Amino acid sequence: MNTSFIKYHSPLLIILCFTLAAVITTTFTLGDLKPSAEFDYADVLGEGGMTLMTLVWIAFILISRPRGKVTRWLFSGLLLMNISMLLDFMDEFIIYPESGTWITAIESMPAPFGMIIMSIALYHWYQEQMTLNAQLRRTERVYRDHNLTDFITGLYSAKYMKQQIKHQLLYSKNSHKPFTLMMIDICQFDQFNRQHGHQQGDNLLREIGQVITMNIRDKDVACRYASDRFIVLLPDATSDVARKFAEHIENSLANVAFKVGSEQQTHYQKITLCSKEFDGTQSNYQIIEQLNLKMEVTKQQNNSSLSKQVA
Amino acid sequence: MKGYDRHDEVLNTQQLLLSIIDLANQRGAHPDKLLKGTKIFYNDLTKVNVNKKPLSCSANTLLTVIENCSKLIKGNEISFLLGRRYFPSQLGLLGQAFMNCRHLADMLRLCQCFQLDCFPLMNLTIKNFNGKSYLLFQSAVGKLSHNQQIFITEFMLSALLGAIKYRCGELPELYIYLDYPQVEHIEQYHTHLNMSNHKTIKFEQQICMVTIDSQKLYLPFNDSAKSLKLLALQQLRQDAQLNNQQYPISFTQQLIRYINQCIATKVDVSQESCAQHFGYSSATLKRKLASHALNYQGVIDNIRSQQAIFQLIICHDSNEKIADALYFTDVSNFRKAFKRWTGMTPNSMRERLLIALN
Repeated sequence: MNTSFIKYHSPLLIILCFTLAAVITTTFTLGDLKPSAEFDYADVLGEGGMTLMTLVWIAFILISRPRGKVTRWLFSGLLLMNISMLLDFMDEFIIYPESGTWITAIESMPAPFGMIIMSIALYHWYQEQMTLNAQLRRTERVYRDHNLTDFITGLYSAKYMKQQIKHQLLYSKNSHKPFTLMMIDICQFDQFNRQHGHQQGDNLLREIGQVITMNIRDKDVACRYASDRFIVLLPDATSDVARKFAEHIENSLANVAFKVGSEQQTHYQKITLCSKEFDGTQSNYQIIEQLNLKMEVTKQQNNSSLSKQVA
Repeated sequence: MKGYDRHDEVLNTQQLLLSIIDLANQRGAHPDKLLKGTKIFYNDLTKVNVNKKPLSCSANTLLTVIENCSKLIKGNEISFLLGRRYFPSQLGLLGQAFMNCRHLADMLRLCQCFQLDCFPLMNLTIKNFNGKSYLLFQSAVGKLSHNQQIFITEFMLSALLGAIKYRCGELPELYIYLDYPQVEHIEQYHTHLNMSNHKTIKFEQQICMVTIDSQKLYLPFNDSAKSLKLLALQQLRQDAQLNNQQYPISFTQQLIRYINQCIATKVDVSQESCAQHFGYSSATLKRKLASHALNYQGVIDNIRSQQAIFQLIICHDSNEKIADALYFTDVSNFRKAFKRWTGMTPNSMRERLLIALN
């Protein structure tokens, strides 16, 4: 199990333990244990179950969420509800003398407050989710499947792109509108990895992925193809449009000063870029192969023009 | 000399295991889940033990981790990344020897001599025909599962091609034949192996090999130093003596070699005579094979079918010639056996080859 949450939620965990301990000791100091014949086991089961479930919810919230306002609100709301339920549950085992009956009078008070706080927290959670959705929407198109994301870049993977190409093919065939695929290859990525380490290589990939997403339209989708290659689907676009976009991407990347780790050293990454227009008559597999071949040709051309410049 | 079994803890693969686990961990898999079924804990792997030798594990351990890894991680890039990072940094002294080899052929020979240290799970055989060299890969530790076979082949290929690219500066023209059906993650083959076209990489070929011009194997590397290579090899041998390493190759490989020899000299080799050669009883041999998920007839069939396929698709030999080379009494027997091994007759395989060529 993932136990890293214990570290960054330790203040909340301490509050939780302290509160539970305080509630239990208060009930015991105020009242006395009932004889076991008076226990109502149906009640014990029901109220105990409710208490336990709210504790489980608290645990899930802490495991799944980072520190922050929304987490604190959710935690406090649930904790207040849990206090009420725990008091109710303790009632089944403890009988209070005259002087301690105030506790039964107030035992249901924390719950409504907790519920109000929970409602506020849920509203904020909704707002937070909307913000995250807006961020995600830049990387996806129509369909969401978290299983298909690429772990390193946060973009979708080649598998997602293949599905999207399949849909696009159907659409293009029926509507006779062309679409363009763009492939982007990072130059000398092996060398970068050898020089700066693979962790930095992964960071570089992530940053480049973000730059590409910034330079495309809402209806386009950029995915990581494999290794140091990205692929962009541009629906309803001719290769002229793609050429313009390519220029944008190249310009922005030329101005990205990637900082290697915490050093001051900057790295300007060069890329190889190619695009090809399709009209929907080819198969899914042919398209990918043709695009890859075009990539090889473009790379060779770039290399030969580079060596010419040097000469 | 004894060969190592699948469960013998002789593989010096602590670094390889750690790399797999770290790569998978970066992609969201927990180390304990990856090591499930191996009786090893992550702490055992990271612990530095000054007095004792580095941790050795069995082929079974490595195979289990590979299986877990293929199941847990989507995306299938780990095998390729592992291969690309393998040469030369992860090979230690051997890497130093590799870097000072005269040419590719020299490197491949070293690969075969130190198979346990560089590719403990795969066996590399080199065949030459008509100015081309064929590097054939076969499991060195018995039968592999589908996932394991794909993972290990991908790892070998990317390590091999990565090393060639690193030493030669660019990849020469290569053709790859794979013995499993086309995989879904073909994009990894496109980028990591630079194989962007169905003419250079072929799936479902019943044989696993890489083809390269023999000439290319002997292009000299100018920055190699013979003295450094000899020094590295000498140190390697000393280390091996200090650690009492006595298993150079696996048991299944020894068996394959022996049977190959017998076929070449046209001696019919029964299970009893084979057991006798290795100094076991027939039952022990059977048990040993079973622990590798093999049986005797299966091993012989595999050796003969691989040779038949090679002669058929590369040398374009006639049925008569192949049947004769494989010690069959007549051609129809060979045809029947070939159908049983591959699911198709020799002629239908030739036809498929012609279609693929056009």
